[in-house]
Amino acid sequence: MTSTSVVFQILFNGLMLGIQYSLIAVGFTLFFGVLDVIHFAHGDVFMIGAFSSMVLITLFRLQTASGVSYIILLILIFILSMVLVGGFGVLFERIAVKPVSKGSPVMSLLATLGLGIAIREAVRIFFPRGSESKRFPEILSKLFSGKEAIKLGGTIFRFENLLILIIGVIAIFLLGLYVNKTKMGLAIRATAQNGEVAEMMGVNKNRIIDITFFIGSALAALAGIMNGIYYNSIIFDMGAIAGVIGFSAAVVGGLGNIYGAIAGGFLFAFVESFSAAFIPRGSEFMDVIAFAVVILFLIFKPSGILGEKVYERV
Amino acid sequence: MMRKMRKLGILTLILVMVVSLTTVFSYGCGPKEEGKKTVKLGFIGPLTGKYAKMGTGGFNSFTLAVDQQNAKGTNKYIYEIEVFDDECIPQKAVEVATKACSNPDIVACASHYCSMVAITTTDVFHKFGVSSTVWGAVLPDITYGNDYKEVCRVNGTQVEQNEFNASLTVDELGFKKFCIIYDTTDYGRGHLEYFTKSLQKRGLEPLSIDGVTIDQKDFSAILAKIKSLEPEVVYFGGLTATGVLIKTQMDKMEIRAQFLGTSGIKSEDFNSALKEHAEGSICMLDGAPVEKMPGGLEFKKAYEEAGFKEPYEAYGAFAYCAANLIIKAVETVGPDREKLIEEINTTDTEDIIGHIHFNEYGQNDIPLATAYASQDGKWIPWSDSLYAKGDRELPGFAYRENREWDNPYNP
Amino acid sequence: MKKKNKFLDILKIASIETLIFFLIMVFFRIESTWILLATLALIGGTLLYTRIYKKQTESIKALFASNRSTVLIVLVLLLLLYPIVSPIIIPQSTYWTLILIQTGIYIMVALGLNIQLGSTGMMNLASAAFYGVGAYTAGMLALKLNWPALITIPVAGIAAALVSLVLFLPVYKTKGHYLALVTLAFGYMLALAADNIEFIGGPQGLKNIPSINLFGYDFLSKVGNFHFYTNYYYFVLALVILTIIISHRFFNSWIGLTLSYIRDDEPAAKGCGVNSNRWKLLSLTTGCFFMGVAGAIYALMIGFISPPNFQFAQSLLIVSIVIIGGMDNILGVIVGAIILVIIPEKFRVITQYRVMLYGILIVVVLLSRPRGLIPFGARKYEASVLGARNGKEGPDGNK
Repeated sequence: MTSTSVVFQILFNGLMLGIQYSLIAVGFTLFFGVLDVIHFAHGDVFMIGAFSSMVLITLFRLQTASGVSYIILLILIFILSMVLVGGFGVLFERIAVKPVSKGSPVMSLLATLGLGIAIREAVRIFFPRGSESKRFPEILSKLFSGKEAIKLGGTIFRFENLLILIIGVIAIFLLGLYVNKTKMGLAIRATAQNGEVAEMMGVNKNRIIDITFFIGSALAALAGIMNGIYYNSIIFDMGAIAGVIGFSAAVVGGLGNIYGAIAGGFLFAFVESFSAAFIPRGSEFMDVIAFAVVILFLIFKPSGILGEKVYERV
Repeated sequence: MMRKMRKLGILTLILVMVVSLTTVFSYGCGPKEEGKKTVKLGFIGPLTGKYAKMGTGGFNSFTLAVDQQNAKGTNKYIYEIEVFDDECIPQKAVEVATKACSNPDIVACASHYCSMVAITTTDVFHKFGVSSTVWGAVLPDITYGNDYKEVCRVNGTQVEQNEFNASLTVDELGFKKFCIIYDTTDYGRGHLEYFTKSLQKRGLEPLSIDGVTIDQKDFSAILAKIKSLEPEVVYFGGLTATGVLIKTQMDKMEIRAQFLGTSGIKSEDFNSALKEHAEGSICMLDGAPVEKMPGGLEFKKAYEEAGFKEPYEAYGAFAYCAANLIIKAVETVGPDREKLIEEINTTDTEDIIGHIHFNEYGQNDIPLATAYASQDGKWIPWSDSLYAKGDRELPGFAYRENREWDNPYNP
Repeated sequence: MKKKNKFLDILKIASIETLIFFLIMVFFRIESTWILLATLALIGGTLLYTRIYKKQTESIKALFASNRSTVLIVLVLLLLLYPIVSPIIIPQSTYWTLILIQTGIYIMVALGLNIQLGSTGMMNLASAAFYGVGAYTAGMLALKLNWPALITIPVAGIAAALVSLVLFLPVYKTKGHYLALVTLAFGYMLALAADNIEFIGGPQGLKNIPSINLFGYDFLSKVGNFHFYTNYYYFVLALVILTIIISHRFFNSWIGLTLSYIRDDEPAAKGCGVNSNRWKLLSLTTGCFFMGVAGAIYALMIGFISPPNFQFAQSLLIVSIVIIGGMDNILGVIVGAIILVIIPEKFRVITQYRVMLYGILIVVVLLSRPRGLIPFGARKYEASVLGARNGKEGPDGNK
């Protein structure tokens, strides 16, 4: 296996990580845009996505199905998880996020932090044997009975990973379409720009907030499912670090800017992957390096890659 | 009305005082049992968290031993267990060790499955002057790195494990190209050190050495590198949670190498989490397999009859013996912490694992280690396995000859 | 007549405080769950009582308020007596003394954070990391370079303050949630670095850090019949009192006033000529100094430190102490520390649920009392105004 194939392998791995981070980061950026809150429990919503899909897989006995019914069940599980978790997201927002959004950002940060802790621990305590890591079943491999991957000169591209990547890209594309081309999307953008004026123009602010949280949480759920498929292992605290990374990615990309969040997510993933591979002892330090990059960004370009307008109101 | 309320308030206050005073002084005089005094033993292990199964297995075995002793009726004392959860986190372990030692009723402790935790509490036990018998941690330094009389160990160390490991894989099976992954705790580093030494003794150097943190989830970068080196064996010095992730990702990247582990992955979880992907892996454990131990079958039977939910796992038998030797010491010198330290140090006895004798470092010299192969979802002692007999082919053999390996296990 | 009343007052205060003290010791002692629950019910009932019988409570409150010095003196006396009295009442007194010392250390860290977060409004999510810098500095100096332990303590504080300067540039340029993220990332980095640098111990941490040794007297030695944490108890008690005094002076001076101004409305403060960057820097370094000192004491006392002790979860605990206890309020911070450190220790029964309840508590408190249980009240302006009138210097050196 030559050096270039190693590089390609790492690039591909970076892509896989990046798509997950991006989906989470998009949520962060949407919430900030629309409600001016940092939703630190969003990472744990990602975790719930992974867990609920695992539960659904067992419930619907996906693994004993085959053929067309298999495909239908699969799609159903994906959609159901996303909807379910989207609903959870709105629930959390109603209970613990919106009420504190009126206060200082410190408050909402802490409140959502507390919420995240509560969610994480609840899963650990109430999910049977919650503190152990759980095996996430290989659900996509059935689609490719036999051939699991294609090899291009030493680099392995697993079909299931390609499929995940495609699904993720489609999701982001659809999101972009929704936000930019539909009436609802327009309402969301309006609320993000200036909530009060939007309300005056007839936008139902509360409804928009609910919808935004639903979408953001559903995307996080999708990321959770992807994570489960990719690593085949989920654990109750997988949301903690994912949340921090998602937040960092969103900030680096520019809070409030969806494309920025996506860029930030991929940037973070690539920095991690490349430092792990090419810097001596990088594997141990990859998070440190990524965070250092984040800090540097914040110092030198606090408004992010694609910019958030930072005004100081007097 | 006010007056009445005030009186009520004062009455409540007096009631509180009375209640508290009585509790204070009633605790002073303990329950007077018919004749026998109760002696408390401390048990510390990971009861929650990723290694809960190992800790619970040890705890159940310990409890089994204590219950059996109490049922005998011929002992001078009745034994009770105070159990503490160290969560496999060093800080937590120091806290609970301190708590155990501050409890004047606890006369001796049996502690720890996780090495990185055991190495830190040695100081606590020494400071407080309480005997601690290690039942599951294998880092050599725990006994050899200090001259604390308080710390003794029933199970073996990484030195023997890794030497045995190398003798099996290099001398017997003929593998030469190893890539090593280790976790960055003292446990993983210990394995790295001793396995590398054992390899060097045989004139071999590992092709690569990579460290991973115990929280790490993504190993694709290291594995990509390892793949390009084309090793025959990937050796992993670390615990189950990480081992499962590494093996999964290794297979996904189609790294054609034999997976080799240590006592850290000798757990039921490894097999149940990986299902067919665990097949053909090899690991080590100190001591003989339970079935082959002198008292092993009885232990197994008694454990099953006791109806514990969890299996006794890799170190259950050792915890069982720890309980027995501590109790034996208490029966000899009484519930005195200082005397117990002396007495336990001079342990020279027989129990289900065989002969137990603590050397000048408090280490039980068990020269033996056993290799296990993962076969049909279970760890089978190497010599009993189909792999040793040649009925099944090790993945490493197939890959060595550039062939695909047929996984015989289909759950 | 007045003297007799005063004497009666002192007696009343002393007896109430002693009673509470005694009850707390009993609380420590009790193991049985039912009695614990009964205690909780009792506390709840007392709170209810104070709600309903406002008049009685008011009179007691007034009593305490007007005799501030007596209250404090009695409190200090009781605290001094604690190690002597507790072994009689509590069999596991070593452990509880340790917990009290730990609480004292957390109070110091929280007071440091209070200066940054409560007074100046700077969100520092890396408090545990600075605590860690202090601990590792003291540990390394004492262990590897054999420095006398006592000297390592202030040095550790200075080290933490110096490290905090690294953060200054981001602090200067960012605000609000960005600062939170920067400190969060910074904290993560420090913790991860500590985990991976073998030179300072790696994931195993540092062991066998020597304890404080004053002219040959080892602080960890037994004092007569009293166990070996007794010396540290007094040492920490003295330092905590010192920290409280310093914080109090800070708060009540024009320094505190300026910091609050920056917190409440930075552009306005700047408009009045306040050099907010200078003050923020002062607040940052002072707070981190306290955190570093606290970390050093911890390292020297326990003799063992490792990365998990300085990770984000700990920072979160400190932040909660400040926010739940009461921002910018010293008493609030102390109460917060007691609630969040001591009570979970006691309720081992609910250890499983502890962390979850903790998360829920944060949410509930922030929803209902966003300024903390004991928020800061309005400042007493007379002192500063009077001071200015009497020719003392104002915040920027102008009269």
